[in-house]
Amino acid sequence: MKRSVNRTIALVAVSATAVVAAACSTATGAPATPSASGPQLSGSITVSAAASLTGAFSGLATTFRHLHPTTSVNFNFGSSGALATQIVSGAPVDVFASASPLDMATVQASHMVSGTPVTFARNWLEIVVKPGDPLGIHSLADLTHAKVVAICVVSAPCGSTTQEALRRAGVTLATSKVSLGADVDATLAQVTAGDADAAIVYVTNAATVGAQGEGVPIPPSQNVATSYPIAVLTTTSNRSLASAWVAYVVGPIGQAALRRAHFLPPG
Amino acid sequence: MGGSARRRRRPPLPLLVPGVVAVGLLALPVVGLLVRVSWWTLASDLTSPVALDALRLSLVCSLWATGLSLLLGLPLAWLLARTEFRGKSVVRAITVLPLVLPPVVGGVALLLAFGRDGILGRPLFDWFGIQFTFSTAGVVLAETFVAMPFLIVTVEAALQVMDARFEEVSASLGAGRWATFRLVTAPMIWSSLVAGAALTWARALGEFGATITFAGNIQGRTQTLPLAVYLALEGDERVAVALSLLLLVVSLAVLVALRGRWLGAWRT
Repeated sequence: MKRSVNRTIALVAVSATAVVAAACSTATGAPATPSASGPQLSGSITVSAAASLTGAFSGLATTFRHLHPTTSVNFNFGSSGALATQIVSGAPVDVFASASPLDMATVQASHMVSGTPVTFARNWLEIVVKPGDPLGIHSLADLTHAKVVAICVVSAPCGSTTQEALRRAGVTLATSKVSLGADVDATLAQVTAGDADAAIVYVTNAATVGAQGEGVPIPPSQNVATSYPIAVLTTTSNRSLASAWVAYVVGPIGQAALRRAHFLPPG
Repeated sequence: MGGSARRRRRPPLPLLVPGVVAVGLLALPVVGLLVRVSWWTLASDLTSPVALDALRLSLVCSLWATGLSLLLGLPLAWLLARTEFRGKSVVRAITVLPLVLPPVVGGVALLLAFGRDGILGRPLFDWFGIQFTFSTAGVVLAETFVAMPFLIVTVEAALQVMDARFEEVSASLGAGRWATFRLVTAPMIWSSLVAGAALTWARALGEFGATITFAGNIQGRTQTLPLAVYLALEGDERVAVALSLLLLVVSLAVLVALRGRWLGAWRT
């Protein structure tokens, strides 16, 4: 797994220095209902979140807005690796929700994480095939019969976990039949919208395909779980709102929404 | 060189300022790219298996797309310039549509036409087992779709400008249509033909949106240079920059080769 060696240390003006202490306690103190957390929240924040969180977070933003009508939470969804690169190169982001601790560590290494990241969910892998499973794919090993298998690029969390799962299953896919997706959404789309025979994506993605595909579970002995950490960034311009969003995701409402989207509990 | 020295007027400030900003806007990204190039690892970055596969595939596919564009686009350009038929304006609109269409939309459209469930793709697959998606042929198809308009537009314009009486004279002297085209028309529009082909090739070489949407991203089969740049950016920025430099150099080479056409007499 090759990561960029000389990523620029951010040119970001770390202006908000004094406020550090107050914020992180709200983030970790999960159980309190976010609405009870006191003074009016206002303004907007940008949350960079792993592509696999698109559905769950978009839904949560709607209910969050009902609680805090004068706020707006904007999203930047993508592969966690790309998002981490953007943050480290100075993208104006308030909260980072990564699909792997590794990409969070990249941001931490640049001293841009405020406090300690909190794990708020986990995810498993699943195979998605064409409706009716015309090729009879029942396992990772069956993927060798497929003409084109879409998997995530190895720099994305779904890519590294996929490689590990294939290794555990003792399956080698020829380069000539692997179509790489930049993130998990792009990977899934190659089956649901395109002509790839199968894709390896997260369980949470497989749950969304509807009539456009079918999920094929991967047994726990071969499957690889990834943890999702979330953190407020030191560069935030709206610390109270950023912390409130993290608390909301970690708290009961966020957790319930994540369970509904088939994410595993963080523990 | 330029004999009659025009009077050098001092450029008006309201034009000079935005003009300079425009140059900066266009030049700065290129400078940014050049500054980030890791020169001492360039050779190894460009000779990795992924880079070499992408380079080979890009060359093969873009040349095929240029060839197909010549084969199909040249006759169409002639028809548009020299004949009258009903629905000509519709045909012309369809011809230039890919020029303004976002390439990713082109990819979706190609998918719906030539995909396994597409209007033409389904019979092709069911009856002959031919599949364009996720194949090198699909890359050529996508590149031809976005690039052929450049050839058609350039050549048609040249044919319009050319004095058709030369062809009439040739015909009146007994030359057949093909002889007329070969001996009269082709030489007269030659520079436009070359320019159109070069533009088409450059556009095909840089194709990204339609390709990744329609043909996927398979190393050695559909992963062309721009796709490799995009994926490398996620993981290894240095390689992405190296591959970008390669594409930049190729683009510049096209520009220099066509300098007579676009850059005036290449005066400094």
